[in-house]
Amino acid sequence: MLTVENVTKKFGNFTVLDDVSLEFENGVYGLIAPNGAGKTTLMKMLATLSFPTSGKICYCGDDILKLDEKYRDVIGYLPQQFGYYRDKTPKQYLKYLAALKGLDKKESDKRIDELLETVSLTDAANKKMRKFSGGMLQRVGIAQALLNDPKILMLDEPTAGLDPKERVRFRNIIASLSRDRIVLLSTHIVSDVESIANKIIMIKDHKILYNDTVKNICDLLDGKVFEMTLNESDITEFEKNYHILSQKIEHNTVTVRFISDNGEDEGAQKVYPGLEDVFLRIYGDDVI
Amino acid sequence: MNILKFELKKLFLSKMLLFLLIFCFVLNFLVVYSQSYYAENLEAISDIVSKAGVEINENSLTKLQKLYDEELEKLRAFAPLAAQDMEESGGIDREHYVAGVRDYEYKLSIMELLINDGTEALQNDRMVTAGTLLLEKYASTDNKLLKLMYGVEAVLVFDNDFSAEYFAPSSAVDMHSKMLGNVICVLIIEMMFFAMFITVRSCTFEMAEGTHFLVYSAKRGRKIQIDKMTASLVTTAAVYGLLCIFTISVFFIMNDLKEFLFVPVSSTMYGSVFTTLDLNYSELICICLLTGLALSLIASALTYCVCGFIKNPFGAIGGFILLQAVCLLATNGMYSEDISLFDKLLTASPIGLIMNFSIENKVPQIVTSSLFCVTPNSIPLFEIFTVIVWILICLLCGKLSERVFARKEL
Repeated sequence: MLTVENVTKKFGNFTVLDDVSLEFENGVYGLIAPNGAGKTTLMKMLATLSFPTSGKICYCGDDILKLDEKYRDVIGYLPQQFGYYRDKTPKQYLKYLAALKGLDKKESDKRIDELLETVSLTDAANKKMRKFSGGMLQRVGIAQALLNDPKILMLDEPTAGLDPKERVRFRNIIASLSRDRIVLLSTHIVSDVESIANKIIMIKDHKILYNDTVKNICDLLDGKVFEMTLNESDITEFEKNYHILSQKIEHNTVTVRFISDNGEDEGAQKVYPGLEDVFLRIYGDDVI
Repeated sequence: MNILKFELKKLFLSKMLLFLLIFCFVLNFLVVYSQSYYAENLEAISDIVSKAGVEINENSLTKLQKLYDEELEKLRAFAPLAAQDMEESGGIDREHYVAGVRDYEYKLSIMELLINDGTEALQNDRMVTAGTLLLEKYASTDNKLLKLMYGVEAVLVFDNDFSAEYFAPSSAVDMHSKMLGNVICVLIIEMMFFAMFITVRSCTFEMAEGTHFLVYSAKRGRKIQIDKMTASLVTTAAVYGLLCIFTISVFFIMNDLKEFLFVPVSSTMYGSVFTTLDLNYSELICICLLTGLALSLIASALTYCVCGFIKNPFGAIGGFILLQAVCLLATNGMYSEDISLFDKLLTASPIGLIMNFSIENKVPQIVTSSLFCVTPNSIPLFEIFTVIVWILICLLCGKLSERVFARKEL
């Protein structure tokens, strides 16, 4: 449906994405990589805000740049950082964006009310956005992305600023939307996509490293992730020998989760790897 | 249409627009106030002319003479009456007496001037004089050369087609000149900058607010710039209309020129200063204001073109000013006596037209330093030529700017 064909993006001499090829069908795609890896650049190209240096992006076989309005009519985009009109209410702001998205007045009024309900902003619908918290603004952003009931929904760091309850609510919304559309979710917070993504795309060194299901990606570390409880005094020595994924201090002991390529150590318990373990393994120092 | 409505709302509700509008109202009021030298004089003249008629003919001169005689009679009657009043009130009100006499004298002197002017005009038609003077000057040339230098209308002057004469006291002509020169010049300059600010605000609004990712990724995409430009043009026209109504109203309230509004400019022509079109003052003011509107819209369109290349609002303002500066440099030649056609063409810019205001006409009796006032150096209908040329430039640059913006990385 949506294909990225050998896309390279350069800014001057700096290559952000190198020969990237992807195919998207209906479902949730989690685009995970550390900050600065090129996620936003890819999103911007998919939203026609930026253009490939070489290669092309096609929707149903046609170049999105040639499709122009027809393509933008089917996309919903939530950028990582988006501005808002401080003196406007969410309703007024959404009405303007609905007009830009080609919705007629009657249709947009109904849709805006529905979406404000969906993102729990009905009570604040007529309050000026200057008083909104980061989470409320993010919810306005999510609502605007859904205004035109898009076939392709692109969300760049959508859960930034949301509290845990809102995150869960957001995940549920995305899961329900993904049945009949492409949802591309870019994040560096692995837990946001682990439970809902049908496929995970990982970018490293400007190229696509993995484009697979969560299970297949996690299987890469199967048998290599362990948990072990150590004395607090032993942790420094332990760190020198193993790649520690996480540690939890309780009283005088530390429970560490680590990767060992050499098999099971004495006292260590093998655990099934999570996506975060793979993320930390792949990006290593990049994420610190 | 829906989007345009939103864009217009954004502009009309902006504090910047309100601030600029108030600033311009105050500035224009001060300009008009500082130019109103003959307010009292014009009131008295208008009163007299309204009774006698503005066109010079036997009838109006007879009426004027009658008014003069009546006023003289009143003056003669005033002195004894004032003396009687003083006697009755038991003291001498010298101030009242002197002011009264002065008032009558003042009116009488104006009437005397008008009668002399009118009589002279009837005896010695000014158009013929002007024609004769010029014919003497260009005795060796034929009509073709005259047409080339002064336009077809100038030749009509020689053919004595302008037969009607009108009362045109120097204070009325001076004030018309101030209106056509200084006031409209200030109005156009401020509107060009106003239009630039409006357009920069509109076209770079999303960038400044950080909403550009949302706005330009929506269905309308970057074509919204066209709606923004349309909104800027509409707003510019509306603001210009408001400023014109305010300024012109204040000017004509302060300066009573209603009797002289429909006097043809040609009737007050002497020597080598001509208006290209034979218009009366009100028509000339209207056409100058329309040219001002065209220049304001051109300024708006040019700013839109600059905004296509430069995303930053300050950069866009700088770009617009730089463009005007280049045009200003090109107008250097317009001051020389011996101006070539190429130099004339270089001066054909909005800023060139504004500079035209500042050119001192050799014979400044009529409409000095205004639009549609032909000096020996200028091309006939230079203003219309300039406006058409710049509309074409704007259309071409607008298309180019649109293409550049469509491929711009955001």
